[in-house]
Amino acid sequence: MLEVIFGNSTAAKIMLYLYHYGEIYASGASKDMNITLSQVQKQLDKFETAGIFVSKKIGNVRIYKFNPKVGTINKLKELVGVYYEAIPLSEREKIFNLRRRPRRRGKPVIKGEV
Amino acid sequence: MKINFNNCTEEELWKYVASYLQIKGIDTVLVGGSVVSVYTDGAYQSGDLDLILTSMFVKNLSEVMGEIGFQRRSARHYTHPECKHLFIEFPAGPIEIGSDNNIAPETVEFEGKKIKILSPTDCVKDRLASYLYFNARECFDQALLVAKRHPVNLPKVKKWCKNENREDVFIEFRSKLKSIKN
Repeated sequence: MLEVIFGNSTAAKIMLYLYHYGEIYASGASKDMNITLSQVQKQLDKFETAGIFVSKKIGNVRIYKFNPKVGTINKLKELVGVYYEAIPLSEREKIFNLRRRPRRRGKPVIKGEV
Repeated sequence: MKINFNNCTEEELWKYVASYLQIKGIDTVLVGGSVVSVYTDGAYQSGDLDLILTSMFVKNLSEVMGEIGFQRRSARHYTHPECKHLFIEFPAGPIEIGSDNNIAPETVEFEGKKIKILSPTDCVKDRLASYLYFNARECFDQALLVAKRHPVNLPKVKKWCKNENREDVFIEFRSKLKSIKN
């Protein structure tokens, strides 16, 4: 149903992805979700033009996040959250299997941790 | 109204464009950094005008903007070939400042047309929103610039900061305002 609300499945996936990670960049999202880069970029542009996302360039990467300055976006996030929570935890772990939170440089990676 | 696109101010361009759109039945509200420019008589220059359409059903914007020489550059940007220092943007509406969506703009009469702009109080809230959500220190300073020159409803600003869970921003703002006014 989320894809119907947002118009297409890429838009819905990007919403869920951003809800999970809190921020998003085009090539990372494209790789993680197996969607072409151009599709992801096009959708990110659309959301930014609509004022739903804001972006900031850090180095060569443009990072997107929900626009915190617009209160309505919180309502939208709540809606996305309902669909996000409906995804079974085991499936969610498969979909969003990359660790995006900070990790100290040099810290060893144990088997099974990405 | 005649305008010299080569060196017009933000305020002159706003009045020219907003009043022309008004004649054509398109109602807009000036928001963002250019409001600071208007309220500080150009002491701050934003470089662009953000106009929010009060109706989501406007279909002839490109055509009307074209009548006064503006060309559409992207989904929401317009430029004028003679106006190299400013451009016009139409951000998506409705007007919201953080969780506050009950914004009543001020009406300014210009050559018999009524055009709209954020009030000084809402302009201060808008700048503080950029400060607290994007860590944009310059926006905090812009809020001070406006409050120094125009009466601002401080209890409303305080209430808004409280609703955004950032009363500390109001305390900082009130303290700095007091020091620059003395």
